[in-house]
Amino acid sequence: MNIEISEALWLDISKIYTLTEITELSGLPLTLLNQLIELDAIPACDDIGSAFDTKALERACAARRLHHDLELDAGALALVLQLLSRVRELEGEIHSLQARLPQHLL
Amino acid sequence: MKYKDYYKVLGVERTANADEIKKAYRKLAHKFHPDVSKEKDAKEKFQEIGEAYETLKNTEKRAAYDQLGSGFAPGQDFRPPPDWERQFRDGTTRGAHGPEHAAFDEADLADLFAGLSGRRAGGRFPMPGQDFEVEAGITLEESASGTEVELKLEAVEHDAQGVPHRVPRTLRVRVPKGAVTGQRLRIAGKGGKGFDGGRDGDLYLNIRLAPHRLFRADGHDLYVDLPLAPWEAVLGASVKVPTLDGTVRLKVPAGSKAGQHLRLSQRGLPKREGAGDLYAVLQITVPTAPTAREKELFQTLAGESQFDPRSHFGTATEAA
Repeated sequence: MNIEISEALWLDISKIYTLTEITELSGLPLTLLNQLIELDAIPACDDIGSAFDTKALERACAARRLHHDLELDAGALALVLQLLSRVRELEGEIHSLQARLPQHLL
Repeated sequence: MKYKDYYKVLGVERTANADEIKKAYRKLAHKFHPDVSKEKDAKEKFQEIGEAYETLKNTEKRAAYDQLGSGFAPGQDFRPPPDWERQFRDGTTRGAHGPEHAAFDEADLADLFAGLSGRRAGGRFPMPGQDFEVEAGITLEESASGTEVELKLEAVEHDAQGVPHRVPRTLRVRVPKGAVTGQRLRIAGKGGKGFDGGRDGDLYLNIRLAPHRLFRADGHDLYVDLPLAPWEAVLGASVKVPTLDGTVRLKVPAGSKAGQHLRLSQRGLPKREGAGDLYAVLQITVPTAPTAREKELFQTLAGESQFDPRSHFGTATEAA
């Protein structure tokens, strides 16, 4: 059996991506990406919307999947992305609170 | 080749029109989309639904699919009629000679359809490989020391005739120490193969820490329940506490309360710089079957103590 061994890289390393890189890596059309940036659904790291972090890349990838699979437009995508982000945040809080509670209360 | 009943997957009749197919897909896609669904096996289910829709929404692909007939059960091995293979040869082959039967026997129905229309429509253009996303469950101990996970993947590769095949691959990925739930790793170029000069896809690994018998993780911090006897909580004590690196002694201050957290600095999971902390969550436990002597001592304490745990109620709290 042929087994390849690979090194993995953390995605949360503070790498900064350009607009072009976000488009290429996510597969999201540039016009749609620009619309999502304007709607604050994909936040830029700077004021002019030219630098993005890994979180933005992850959101762009999710946007591409949702756009392709569910045929959502920019407005609907922005809403879904924001709600998903809120859900993840709340799930994180629940997880965090559950860790602090004694086991017998879970 | 295994037969797949795309109509059954979408829950529509074979006579369904394009609108009915689209409606059925949308309904199922909203329910099973992996980005939003909490359904069990949502990813696999959505993949199946997407594959069916990709074929049935396209007139040309649907016509080709319909030519296979409906006399097969899902998952049944079947051999498409020669005429059917010819049209795929025309659409997918790169050379002058078409693939033999053997090439089609191992092919996946969805992969054949995926390559059909694009190639016919506009000739060849670079197609990037698919990004893979998989979950890797690791233990706390593996996170603390770093580990390797073995992944078994299936990637679509094209043979010399351009016929797509699913090729199993085993990949061993080194996960750096300190990996915790919610973190993602990217392994560049280890997704699906690119086609006609397109870049290979990437592999994304979502880390999930397996539940531990003693510890609960929150990021790089760990929590462990620390049961105390009532007198240990009142008088203070030095107790043994398990950590991932072995047992340590912890000084419990006098007057400790249930639910309080005592922090053991840097005893959590390793981070890029330093480590998280370990928190001992205090629990006051009582003997469930006290001896006669223990009862006697507690009764003496009850008679002599002025302590009123319910004084904040503001009313007399004598036992009923």
